[in-house]
Amino acid sequence: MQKNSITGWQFCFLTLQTQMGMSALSMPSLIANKAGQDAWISMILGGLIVQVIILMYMWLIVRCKNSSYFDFLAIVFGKVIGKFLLLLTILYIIFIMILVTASYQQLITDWINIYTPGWIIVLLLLIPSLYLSIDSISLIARFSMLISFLIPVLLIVVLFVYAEPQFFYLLPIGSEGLDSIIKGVIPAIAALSGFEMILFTSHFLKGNKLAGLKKGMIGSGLVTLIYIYLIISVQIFFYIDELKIVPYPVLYIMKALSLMIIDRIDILFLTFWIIISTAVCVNYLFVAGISMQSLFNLQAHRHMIMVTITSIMIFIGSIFIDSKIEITEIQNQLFEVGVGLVVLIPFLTLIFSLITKRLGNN
Amino acid sequence: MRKYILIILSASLLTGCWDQNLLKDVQLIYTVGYDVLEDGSEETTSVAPPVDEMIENVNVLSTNNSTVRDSRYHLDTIVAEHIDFSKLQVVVLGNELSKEEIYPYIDVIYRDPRHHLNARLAMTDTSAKELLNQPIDSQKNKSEYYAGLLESSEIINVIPKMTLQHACTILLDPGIDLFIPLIVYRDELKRAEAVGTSLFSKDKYTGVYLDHDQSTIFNVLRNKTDRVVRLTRKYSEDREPEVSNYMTLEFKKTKTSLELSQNPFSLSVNIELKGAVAEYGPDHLIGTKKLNSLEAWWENKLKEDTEVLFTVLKENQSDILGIGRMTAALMPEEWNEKEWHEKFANLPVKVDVDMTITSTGIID
Repeated sequence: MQKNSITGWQFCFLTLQTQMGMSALSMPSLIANKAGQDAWISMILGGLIVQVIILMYMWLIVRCKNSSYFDFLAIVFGKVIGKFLLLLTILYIIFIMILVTASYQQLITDWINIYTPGWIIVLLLLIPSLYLSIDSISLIARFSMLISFLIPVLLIVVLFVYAEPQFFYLLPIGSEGLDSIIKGVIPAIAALSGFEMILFTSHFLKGNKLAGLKKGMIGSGLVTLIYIYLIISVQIFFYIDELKIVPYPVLYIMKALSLMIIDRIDILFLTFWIIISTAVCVNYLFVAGISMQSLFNLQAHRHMIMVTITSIMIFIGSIFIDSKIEITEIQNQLFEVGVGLVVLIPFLTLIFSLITKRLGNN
Repeated sequence: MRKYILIILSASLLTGCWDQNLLKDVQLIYTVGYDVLEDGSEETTSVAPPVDEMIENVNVLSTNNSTVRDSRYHLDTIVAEHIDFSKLQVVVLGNELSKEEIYPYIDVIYRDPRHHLNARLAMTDTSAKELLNQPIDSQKNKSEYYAGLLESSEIINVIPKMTLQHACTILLDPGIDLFIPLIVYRDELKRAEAVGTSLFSKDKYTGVYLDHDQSTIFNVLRNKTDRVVRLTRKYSEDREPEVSNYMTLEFKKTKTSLELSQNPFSLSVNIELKGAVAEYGPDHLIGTKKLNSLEAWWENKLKEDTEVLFTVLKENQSDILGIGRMTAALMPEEWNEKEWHEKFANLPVKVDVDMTITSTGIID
């Protein structure tokens, strides 16, 4: 069906947008807390590891044939274990979404709408996302593609740092020691999460699957490059001890800028960024919908109901998280476990399918 | 049915009045001064522009509480509007406060999202309250006066520009010490004057400041010169009138390179200047020979001045050029955070000046 398939480039932007919206603004501090002034090295390593993970995904997807990854789990492991692993994946997706909405709400509350109740902000994010995600994949991918013009805006605004760069803050390279750099790789991979979108939506690819997957890989690689650029820009602006206490360093840079016409460019920028956050929400909601369909063996037209139920769960979940400290704690502990999950389960699936020689349906 | 649900749902999108912030309800503060009193409590002096364009009266309000935040809330209880710091232009630190660790007093500025980090930071030789309460004989209203004063002094390079964001980076970095413009009130002029750059050691004021000439050289040394660098020195002794003894040079292009070397650990400074004679009464400067000797004279003079500047910095253990930062980055084996200030005080510095005079203006 034409409507239920996407082209390679749409696939690329779908991956890119999901990754970008997750933690582009907060990621430098999270990594710097672990890796100190070598945070950018951790980011490069993290990016490489993610590329390897995607290669593993590609192998798995080739074995999936035309089945979705969610269906393939049941094919490989049998009904009971397969559904259980699927349930874990769905829990991960919901958990990620709660985290995304909660930190989005926290950001908006902290920076713009101080007095607006948090649940209103969450609703204002979820309602449009819900409305979009009940539609077809091609529409969602087109949306991701449409809003990607916002990313150059981010890159150009950050360029102002290079007016007075402090490259000394990057030197001496490797001073934090190998140990810290490797510790920083974990939050770096967590910051890049969203790459699992490649695995979850690959069965919608039309035409040559491998060519499409390569474009997904390009999308993810672009995100890594953008993140490396962002993290270096942030590091040559802030002293490392300062970076550790500034939760949204990219916004903080904009806050310190004063252009001729716009005094507080960070606030203007955030209004654009809301759209990117919406895209993350849309993409994950959609994936949650199709994975739940697969879990309960439902027809395609039940998608809307599943998505709605998920949004309600997310809404309730995110109201319970009401402080920044809670979000940071969850991010520090569970987030990495969750990302491990989306690496481990596909890996086991791949190994198991190789052993049992089970393939997806044509 | 679906249509009605959609209408009801979209009605919920029409919620937008929680965070309205109307200009008529707020009292913007442009200039604020912080002081510490003898009992350790904090005093905030805020200078607000007139709410009504027709009234020229500027509000100067002082409140005294245990923390900066408290003093701000206290402000709200004595003005008719809501106090808003989002358009802050200048923060003035009192002399007593500067002698303590200053970060705790300006922390509130970094913590509040409404704050604007491009506001300038300055200090004064008395208390900030005293300075901000002085009458200013200016056409600009007092709340905007200090920002303009600092900005126009930055343009001619006699003080460095210091924004709140930059100060925060410096305060947290052990490899560089803070430097901020010093504002002094002149009774005879009924105006304030930016007299130079105050030197901090770590985050405490040393009590010493660089005057205009030294601040200019300091700006040249850190490669942060805005527009034109102007230097005036006494060239001869015996001419009449006295003004003929002085020569003013203007430099459009200056470039300084600082280089560290090991064994022994030392710093070499290389200043390159390209400039023109802007004012010299006796004239007749043309001729290669004359220009060469002129250049040599200036090079020597500037070398002396730069060496004096470094002596001042070293005596006060004030590493405002960020030599420590350089050391930490380029020679980590020489870097020791705790002992840095003593090491800096004993750092040998070699200065080299290379000057080219390219023009003598439109007369010879």
